[in-house]
Amino acid sequence: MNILTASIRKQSMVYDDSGVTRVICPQQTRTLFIMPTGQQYPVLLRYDDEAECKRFVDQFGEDFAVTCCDSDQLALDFLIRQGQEICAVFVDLADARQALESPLFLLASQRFPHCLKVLLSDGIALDEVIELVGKQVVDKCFSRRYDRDLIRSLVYTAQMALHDAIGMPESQVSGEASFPTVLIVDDEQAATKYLRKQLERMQDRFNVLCAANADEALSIVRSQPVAVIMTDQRMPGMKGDQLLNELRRSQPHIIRILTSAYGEVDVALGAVNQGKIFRYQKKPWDAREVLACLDAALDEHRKLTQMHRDSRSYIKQEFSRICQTRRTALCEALADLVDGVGGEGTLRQFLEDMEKVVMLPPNTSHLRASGETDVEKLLVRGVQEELRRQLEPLARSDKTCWQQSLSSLAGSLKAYCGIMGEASIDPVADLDADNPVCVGFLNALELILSSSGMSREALVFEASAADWELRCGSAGPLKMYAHLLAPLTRVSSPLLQQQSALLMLYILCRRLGGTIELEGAQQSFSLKIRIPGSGG
Amino acid sequence: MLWGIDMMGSQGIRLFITIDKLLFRECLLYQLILQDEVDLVGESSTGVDTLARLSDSGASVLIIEEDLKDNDGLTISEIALAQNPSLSIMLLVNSTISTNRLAIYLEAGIKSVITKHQPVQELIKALHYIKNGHVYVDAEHYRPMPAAVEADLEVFNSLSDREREVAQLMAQRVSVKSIAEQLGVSYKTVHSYKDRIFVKMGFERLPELVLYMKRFQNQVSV
Repeated sequence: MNILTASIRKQSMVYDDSGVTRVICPQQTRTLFIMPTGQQYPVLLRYDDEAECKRFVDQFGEDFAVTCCDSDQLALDFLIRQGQEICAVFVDLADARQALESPLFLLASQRFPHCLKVLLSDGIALDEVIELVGKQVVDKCFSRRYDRDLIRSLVYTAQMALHDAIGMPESQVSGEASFPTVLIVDDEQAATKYLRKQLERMQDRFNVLCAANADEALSIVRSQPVAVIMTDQRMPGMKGDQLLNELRRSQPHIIRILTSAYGEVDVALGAVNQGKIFRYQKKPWDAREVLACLDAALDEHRKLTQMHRDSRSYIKQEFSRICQTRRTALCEALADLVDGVGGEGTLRQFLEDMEKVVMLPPNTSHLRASGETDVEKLLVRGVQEELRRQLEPLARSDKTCWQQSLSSLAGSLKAYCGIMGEASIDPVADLDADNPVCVGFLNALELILSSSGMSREALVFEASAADWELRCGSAGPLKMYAHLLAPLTRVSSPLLQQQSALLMLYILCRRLGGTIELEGAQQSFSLKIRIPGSGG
Repeated sequence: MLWGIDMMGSQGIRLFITIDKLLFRECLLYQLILQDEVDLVGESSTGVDTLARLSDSGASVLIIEEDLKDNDGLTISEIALAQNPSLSIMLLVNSTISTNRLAIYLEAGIKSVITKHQPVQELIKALHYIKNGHVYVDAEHYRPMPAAVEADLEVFNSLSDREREVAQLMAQRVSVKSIAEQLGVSYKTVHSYKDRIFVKMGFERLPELVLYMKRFQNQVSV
């Protein structure tokens, strides 16, 4: 007997904790598997034939961290120890029929439902496949030669599906009640009604709802939290497998069960292969069997939900730590530049205002980008360079220059917003090009507008005797999809330019003795700039 | 072979494409629109515009460039996914990314990352994977490439003399009818040659053959 961890580049990665990213959740010591760095997904291979094992490792050794076992006992031991982290179990047996009784598949489906179960075999008969998949023993069957791209893609998808389930939107989980809902979908309404009555009589752990078709089911799922869905395959309109496929993608946290009468096994097979359903339940229904199946599904749903909660709070906490560090770094890099021209507190106001603009919540990709790449460094350096570039022309401005710009800026803005007769074609070229303050101000405005896909018509300019005001008009608020304190996956030049331009407006407004107010909303914001002066 | 993968009724690809440069976008579209299942439901050159029109378009697949002028393509993708989690997104990036970056993209929900250095066939292959929500990663791309020219030669050498002759004529845009006349065989025979050439060389359409032959001939002459 030998157990061999065959990862060509990284030896024995599965055992070596350093190769695997682990997240320890604060409250419970549950380990969540995220993704090993270097893209090596841990998989388990149980083989009979040494040559086949070697071939498998040759083909996939660089993609997966393959642990190979030549006996069920070794494989089981390994799975029990590492099952949470294994994303696929491959079984390659000399006699494919043994797979039906494989204790490995059994353990994987009972304890690690996220794990992809794949049978590799030569010359397996179709009815055997149907039996295997129909009984939920395996998820996929491949005969040689394997399509490497497909297998790779399936394993990656399995890993991401585990992720999707963890990363489900807050709203879909918070409604999670102690009294969950099971939805049964079938066009034979008499049958569902009867099953529902039976189920209600047999237990008081969950609530049962019925839908007569896929559309009805989708509208129920969208309007209230559903933990488990069990759908018939054959229905008028959208079929059961299509419904489950749709749900798999839009609501991955709902546990999916497909039912169908005998004779439609091929469809079930397709659904299993494509849709990653939890169970396949044969019809006609036996209430006791269905109940056991639903209980297992609810249990799975509870596990997923808990995992999601743990990971959510962990991610939140981690990101706020990243954000704190980033804020300190930004202040160090920018405070002199920004407050030097805009006056004390300019940077602080800007950063506080940015936090009013609501971004998407952080997820693991943001943690990874901030932790494992140089995103944080690039951001701080990038915004510093960009700002320095924009502030440079102002260095030559003396007191008189700033004084002059007070009146000429109002005039320029008037022209820019099209108050003075016809709006010119190139307003920026039109204005007082000698005044770096005006140029800086209008360039910044122009950039902010264009990154929102808006034009200057979106702004309103109003002058009174004592001051003038520039604000967002009826075209609605400006757009902002990322900012200096947002979760980031990448530092792009549009981000740097947009943020620097906005920061420029803050600096210039405050330097000119005016005020700038920002009202934040979901990925959008409105500005109100007020500057003293005659308004031209 | 995988049993059952094609048993599901395919629902088609409702494609939205966001690429800054029109020339690049159109060249790509000329290829993609030839795919049976592809229906173009929207195109755009900016991120803001994409988000404004994406949900009404009913797109099932979004192909988006990472470097857009107005916003970061990846950020736009994340927002599009928050609005419609069942959207499959392919990100087009300028240069080869590290596996570490790839992990970030995949965790962000991107189904496939294609660099602008890859052949268009790779993009089409990826498109067919991601249309059903699968992740597609071309791991070969992250490894040193074998010499492509040699592989090409091998494929061409696997054709019979007659097949080579037909391939050359077809690449010169000679019609099937004229080829039949020139070679003194029937119309049907030319078609079966054509089928065999396409299968052997892994082509789906004539332009692929024409381009291949041009490149091949130039390499031979070098």
